[in-house]
Amino acid sequence: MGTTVETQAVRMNARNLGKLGIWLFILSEILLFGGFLSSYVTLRLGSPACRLGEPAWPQAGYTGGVLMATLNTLVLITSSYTVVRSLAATRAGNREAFRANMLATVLLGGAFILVKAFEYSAKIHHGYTMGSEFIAANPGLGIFVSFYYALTGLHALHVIAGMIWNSLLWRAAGGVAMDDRFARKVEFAGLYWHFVDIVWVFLFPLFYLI
Amino acid sequence: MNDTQEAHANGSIDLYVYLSLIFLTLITVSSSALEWGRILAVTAALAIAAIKATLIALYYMHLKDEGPLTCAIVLTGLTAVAILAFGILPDMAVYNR
Repeated sequence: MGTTVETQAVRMNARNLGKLGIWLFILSEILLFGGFLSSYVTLRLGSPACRLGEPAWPQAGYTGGVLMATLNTLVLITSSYTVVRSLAATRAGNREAFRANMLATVLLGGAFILVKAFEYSAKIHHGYTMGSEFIAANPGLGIFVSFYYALTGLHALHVIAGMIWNSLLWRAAGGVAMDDRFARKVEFAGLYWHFVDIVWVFLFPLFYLI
Repeated sequence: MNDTQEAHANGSIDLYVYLSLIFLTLITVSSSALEWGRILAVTAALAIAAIKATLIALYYMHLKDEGPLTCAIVLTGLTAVAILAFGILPDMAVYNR
């Protein structure tokens, strides 16, 4: 009896400490993206070439870029929902539902990266790269384009990291019990994935719409 | 409310949040096409983004059920970002005159 209570207490502590750890990690990510975004907003507020409030992208390729970014927003939001469902399935002990939802999450992450690759390709095709003739003719846009690649690229790396994490959980689910310990791992991966979604929620309007 | 009923209720809330996020995304895109001035365009886009982020944090990340320590961690990050973002604005206003 005493041992059971003690074991439960240890598990509770592990859960709380693990969650504290993941929230502290998210804090570091808030500071990372927040610092970049603050610099970006301030820079555009003071820039005559790419003032915040009007899309900075030139007309060529603008509509295509917005469509791809909107599609990616819908993809990422849907993946957040499938993560939520996978955690609910884990807590209900439903292995099949967990695997289906987690697989959907990973595939949606892959779709996001694929669309992003098409978008980068289109932008490079239009000459929106550092050192191109277009940027040489529009020097004020250089810093905007640099921020665009730096921040969307950093975000894409986070999506890839989340895909790897979620894939490992999907794979592990085949051979482990759907218990509290596993649910905790899914919860932590889910917190990270939702944070990555929140970052995109801000990147989307700031880089494509205003 | 037993566990099954609670799981069902939570599932419904998760779905409503998802649909709200989709709706707000479509509002963001369609409102960006309106000609309503620079300040209003920025304010509307960022306000909608903030609402979406709050929905995700409260319901999907379960921040509404977390203790004061977790809330303090998040607030620390948001305060630091707010200082970074708004601390420079007075200087920007002076140089943009």
